[in-house]
Amino acid sequence: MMTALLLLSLASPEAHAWNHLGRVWDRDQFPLEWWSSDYTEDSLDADYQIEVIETSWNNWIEDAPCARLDAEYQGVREGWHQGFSTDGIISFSYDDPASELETGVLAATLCVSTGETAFTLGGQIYMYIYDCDIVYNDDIGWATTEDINNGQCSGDYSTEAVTSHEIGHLWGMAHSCEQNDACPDPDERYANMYWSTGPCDNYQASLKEDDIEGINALYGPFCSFEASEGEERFGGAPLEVCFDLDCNEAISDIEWDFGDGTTSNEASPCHVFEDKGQFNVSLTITGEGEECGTWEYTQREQAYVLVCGEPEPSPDFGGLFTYEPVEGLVYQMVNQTDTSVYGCIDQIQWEVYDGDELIQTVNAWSPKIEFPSEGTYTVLLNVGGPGGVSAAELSIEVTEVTEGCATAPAGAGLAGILLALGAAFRRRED
Amino acid sequence: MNPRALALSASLALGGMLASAPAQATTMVELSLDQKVAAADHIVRGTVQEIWTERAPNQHVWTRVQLEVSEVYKGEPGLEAVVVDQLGGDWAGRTMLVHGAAVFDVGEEVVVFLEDLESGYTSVVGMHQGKYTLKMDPISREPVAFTTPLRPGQDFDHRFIPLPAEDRRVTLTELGGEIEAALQRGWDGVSIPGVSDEELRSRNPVPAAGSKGVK
Repeated sequence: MMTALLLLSLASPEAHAWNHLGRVWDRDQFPLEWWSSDYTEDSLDADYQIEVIETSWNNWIEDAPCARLDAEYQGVREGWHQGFSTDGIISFSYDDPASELETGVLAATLCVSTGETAFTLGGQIYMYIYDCDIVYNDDIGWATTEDINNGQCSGDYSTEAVTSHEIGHLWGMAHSCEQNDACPDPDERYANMYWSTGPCDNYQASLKEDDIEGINALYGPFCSFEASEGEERFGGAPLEVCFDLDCNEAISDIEWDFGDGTTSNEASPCHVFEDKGQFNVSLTITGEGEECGTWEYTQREQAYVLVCGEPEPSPDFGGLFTYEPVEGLVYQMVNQTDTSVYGCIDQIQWEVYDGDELIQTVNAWSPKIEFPSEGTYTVLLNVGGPGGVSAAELSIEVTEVTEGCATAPAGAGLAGILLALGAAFRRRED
Repeated sequence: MNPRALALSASLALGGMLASAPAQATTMVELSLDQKVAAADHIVRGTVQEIWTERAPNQHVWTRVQLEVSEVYKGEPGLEAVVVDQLGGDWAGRTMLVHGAAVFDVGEEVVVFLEDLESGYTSVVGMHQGKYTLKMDPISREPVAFTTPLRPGQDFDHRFIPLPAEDRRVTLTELGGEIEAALQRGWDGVSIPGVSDEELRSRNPVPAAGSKGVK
């Protein structure tokens, strides 16, 4: 289903929990073997450069014991030039050897997947990782943890915090929050996997609950859920969704939160979403395991269920579109369709008719349309999504607009607005 | 039945329009607009014409984006086209992940802050921070400029992404004005993480007395 391609959380106002890159190591590859390169950072002690990487690995291994992570230092690989090749060797390189990192980027983790599917979680396909390399930007002032703790840092960036964050990416973790997210939850704002860091901040070196939940979902005891086979989780209201559960450990308790104020303790419940919107579904399970004793794990899927209505105008408008003259025979179409929920609109087509003859189609959002000559034309807008298809049409009296006089001629600008306000929505009738 | 009220087919709506969305894994510094302006070799407005991937000699995959330039704020005034490079992408069945990168879509109109890397690639300053999507605001009838950081697995179709909340909308005119003002002020001489002071000096030459400034 095409809608499924549009994942949905761009407009979600809620705080975001952990996220994954959709990549995971095969546990058989543990301990992960890693190397340092002979590209080093002049401002840091040579031994510290290795030590801080080891500390950063251990931040994950020790703070998330249920994930049973493991890594092992192998030594220095020498003689690499122009950056690393993806040869299946995990490597750390200071000094951006291939000059690939942009301004504002402290470090980057470059991973290659095998293309082999490991599992599916929340509708996302996870592939096995084949290789990762971590590269540090060369034009950064780096600080040691000791300097930061002793107040000896002035505008430099924590090597340990940045390395821990990058190793999080290497395991398969994505950012807890992205730049434009509201991110009001301090556990996510100060998570190791927060998208950005400031100078002399070391708080991202340690893992927070959000990081631990995320890494446990990749490597620890966990359950995944998805809509039952044949069930759609995107559609028009009301929408019934049934959920299937898949756990890798025995569980003793379970609670679902459907994100619309309702909960369930059934193993595989069905739920009717009555209202339109994006719904974050979460599942909290408890159980007992040999390595971590009694554990509790919460699996949250953001905007997992999308319930849409038929496309309609944004609240400020009465019609799906209007238009205004630009210059010559060019008119600007102004799309007023409500796009506040990403995913509820995923199809668009404009059609221009001269009488009954279709003379032009356009798939842009708010296109400029050039008419062949003066006259009366009909413009039809079709917009569609999981909630249905809506259409509106306007008759446009096209007159040539001279340069420097791009005001609406009679029957166009103001009249166009008035027409659009009265534009009828029509469902497809076939 | 009105024959014009045609049903839309999925193929016409999205066929070929969804750009691949490589995810990059990075730690970033949040850059101010002044920092982005100072760090850029070029600041242009343009429309995405084509997207493809290439593999560098070191086997790293780059996603390359051809922009048709309609306006130049900084850099070579007569620039008509530019290729923007982003580390990561799919090449010959292998995917190189890069989370936090700017993601482009064919047909998308953008304002981008670009820097020429020593490696020869022209990349986006601050990754997604240096790319603004332009989309018409039906209220003001002006293009609104906004950044769109994506999550892994999130496909990007520029036509359907939501506008920012009304009180947070920055029009292209306003963004252009802020860029012009920052160019007039010039680089303040304070270091910016990820680029050398020497490079910043070369990107922001002090205008000779009597000259008209950077643009």
